[in-house]
Amino acid sequence: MKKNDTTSRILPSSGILPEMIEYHSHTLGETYYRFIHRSGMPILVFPKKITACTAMMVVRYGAQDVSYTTAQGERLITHDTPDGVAHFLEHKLFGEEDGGTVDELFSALGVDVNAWTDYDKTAYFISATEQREEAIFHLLRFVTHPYFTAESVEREQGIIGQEIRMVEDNPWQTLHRRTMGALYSVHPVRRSICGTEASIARITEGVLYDCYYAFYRPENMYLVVCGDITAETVAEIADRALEDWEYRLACHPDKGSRVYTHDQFPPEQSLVQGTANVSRPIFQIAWKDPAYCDISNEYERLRRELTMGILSEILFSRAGLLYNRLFECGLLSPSYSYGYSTMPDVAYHSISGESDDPDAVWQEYWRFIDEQKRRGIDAEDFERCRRVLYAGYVSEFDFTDDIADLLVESEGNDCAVFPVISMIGDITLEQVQELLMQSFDREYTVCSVLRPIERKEK
Amino acid sequence: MAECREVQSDGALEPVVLTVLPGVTLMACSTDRFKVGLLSMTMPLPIRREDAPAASLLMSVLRRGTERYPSMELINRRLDELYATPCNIRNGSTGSAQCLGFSAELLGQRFLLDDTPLTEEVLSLIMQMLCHPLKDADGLLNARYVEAEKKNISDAVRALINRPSAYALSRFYDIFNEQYEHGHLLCGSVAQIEAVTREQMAAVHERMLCRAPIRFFYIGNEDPQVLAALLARTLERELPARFATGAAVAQEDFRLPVLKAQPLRRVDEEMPVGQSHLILGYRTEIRLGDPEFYAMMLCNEILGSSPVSRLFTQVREERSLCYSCSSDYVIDRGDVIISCGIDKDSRDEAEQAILEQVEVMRTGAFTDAELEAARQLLLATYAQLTDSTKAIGGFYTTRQLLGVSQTIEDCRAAFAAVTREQVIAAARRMTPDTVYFLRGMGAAQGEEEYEEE
Repeated sequence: MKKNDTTSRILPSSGILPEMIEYHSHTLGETYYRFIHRSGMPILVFPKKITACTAMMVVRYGAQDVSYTTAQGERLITHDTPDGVAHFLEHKLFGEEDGGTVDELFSALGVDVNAWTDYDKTAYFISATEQREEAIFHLLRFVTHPYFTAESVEREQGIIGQEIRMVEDNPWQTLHRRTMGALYSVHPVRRSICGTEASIARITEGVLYDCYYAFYRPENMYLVVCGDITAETVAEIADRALEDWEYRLACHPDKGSRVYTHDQFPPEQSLVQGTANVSRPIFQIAWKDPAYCDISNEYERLRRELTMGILSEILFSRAGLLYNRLFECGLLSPSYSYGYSTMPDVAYHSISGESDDPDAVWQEYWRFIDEQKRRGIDAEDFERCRRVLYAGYVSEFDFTDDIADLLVESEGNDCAVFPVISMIGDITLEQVQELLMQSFDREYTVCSVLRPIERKEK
Repeated sequence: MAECREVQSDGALEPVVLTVLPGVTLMACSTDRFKVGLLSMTMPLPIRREDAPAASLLMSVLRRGTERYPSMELINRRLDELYATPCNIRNGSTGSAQCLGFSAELLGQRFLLDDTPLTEEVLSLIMQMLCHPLKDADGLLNARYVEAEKKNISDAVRALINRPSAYALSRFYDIFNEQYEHGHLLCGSVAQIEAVTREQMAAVHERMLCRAPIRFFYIGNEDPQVLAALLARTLERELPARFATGAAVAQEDFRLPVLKAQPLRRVDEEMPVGQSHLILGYRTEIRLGDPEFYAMMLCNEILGSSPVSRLFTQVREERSLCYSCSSDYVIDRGDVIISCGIDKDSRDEAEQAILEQVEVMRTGAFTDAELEAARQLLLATYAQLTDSTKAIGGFYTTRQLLGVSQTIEDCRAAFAAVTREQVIAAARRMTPDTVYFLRGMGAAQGEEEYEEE
């Protein structure tokens, strides 16, 4: 792993392009550019000779922003909205003023269009093969041109109502929601992204417009493009598509600000249990990492994520001791997952799986963690898992979708994407060891279990 | 030594096919376009319902331990050392074949941090699993692993109820394909898995090693001739008996016969979940390789394969009946499957709305704009196949198994030429066979209980 894999330089403005930063990775042989469009929106362009061109327009507004503030003079006004507004907005932006949907526009171009909502952001994306410039133009237009009516909002309530039922019928999602509910007592991450049937019934076109204009603003959004296209072409498309954006926003001056939730307390319960339509018990063991949220430097946060990535591989991967111990004695099935998740004010590590005896898994988990803390990290395991992280990172750079996802995440965290290779190379065994000693303590860990419903014998 | 049988141009990532040994081919796309390449090995055997559970179990047991790496932990650690190569067993069906084997994603040599011969090492590990699984003193597969995998697979079958839409689809296929060998869960029912003996598994293993055709697919920057030579050397070393005796290779062509619709069957079942699932199964008698295939693809695209399809716009958007409603054209069998998740009280309205859309296809009442949008989406989808090693591999290995000679560009040219009349004619070939309804009897999640440790 190269110590100095990345170079970056500032390119002066030229033609329609403003000043921009060029990032290059020597290992990957890839380059991308970042500049601020004249509207104020950051744009990232990753040129790559490949058939599909992926563009993602992202707003830093998601399911966690149920409360937000706007400024009135020196006074801050807090707005409380029903759960599920960000996701509802994501659905409704696909509606057009003439009653049609943007899907028709894109499909005529042979372009896939879709969107997703997370807790801290919402993304709209297209994947185009031929008419990519027109597709990017229309993406920018539809996300910046909302049109909602009472009738269309009511229709959407029926569709999202079915989506909520689909989510509720998924026991893994129910399990995760309960885990988050136990880990976080006040943070909105404990609630469903879609909201509930009751909360979405309270969403009106007025609520949608208020939230839209509070957050869908250039300084709170960014565009990522990856494909066979130049930064200059993207800048030119943005100039055309966004020419009246500033003018339209002038009528809606109230900018929304995210309310960060300080919820770094130990969970009140260590065990949460319930029943569901499952064939045998499913469980999730999650450890809340309050220290991550105290780190203010974005690259230090990234370093912690990568260090935790190596540690997590060592402890919990399918090549690791815990999984194989549980698997070999039949306490764990092959459907198993593990990982570290972060948001601006949330960080946790979890493992999930199916087991006939989740209590035994819970006990074995602690026996294993205590043992690892006593024995320390093995140098061979450290090198092997660092290599796993490196290989996984390189393999993300084949498809435009994956690259766009990486850029969306890194820009969301205010980081560049390429320093990861050097950072993985810089992480030491001692740092991983130190993190192990600071992590996975009982006070901040919960175990959530869903057991099968007991059916009465006929 | 490998012999070149057919060579095509590389411009559009079209593969060359090399004969490695009798009954063994390598289909390879040589390109440095990808950072991660793909090597897959497929050994197809005719699907037989009495053998499919044993074959499925065999593949899981092969992944558990080998002579050199006696536990899964050691196999996984070895794969991690080999740059975290994802190496999975293959156990799927195409046409009348149960496709057994392995696939591995290989980090390009230029990204390796040392001089590990990655392809050779991964191939060697695959051969360990295939030819040298851990056995007991009686010469049969390790009994402990067999029992453990029986439990894992049985648990996975039982766990289908955790995903109501997947459970509904599985039940639908059991009914829809009742009279056929194919089209069911390959691992079978819990009772069938539990009944498998180690002797049965040994027989399937023997058939696989000695009689099944061996089809390699590779995409990456290695020279196909060099790779073919490596494969030939490796197989001659690992399977000396097979290549010394020159035993005849079993069935090569896995195209299914035409599947005809039965008189309409309706089956209703219940489950304690919030959402109900309605599935309609049609036979078209048009399969991959038939001249009407391209028109059927377009028909399915207009009907229910995209966000502008009739099912999405009319059943979801216009009537708010569901979150998802789509159709799927199963190209090797010639079936069209329509499914949606709905409220139980909307069943009649949803079925009526779906039937209306099928009727629109039959009568040609869809617009030219719909036809052209579907065409553009299909053209784009097929163009994008060339961005993914797995998609390229899937496209060509499926066609090789079904004896269909067709490139991605051939498909695109054919889609461009399909007429409205051909789409209508294809739609008229859709004959209803089975309607399955899984009635949701109300969400089952119980109350939360909290405990403090």
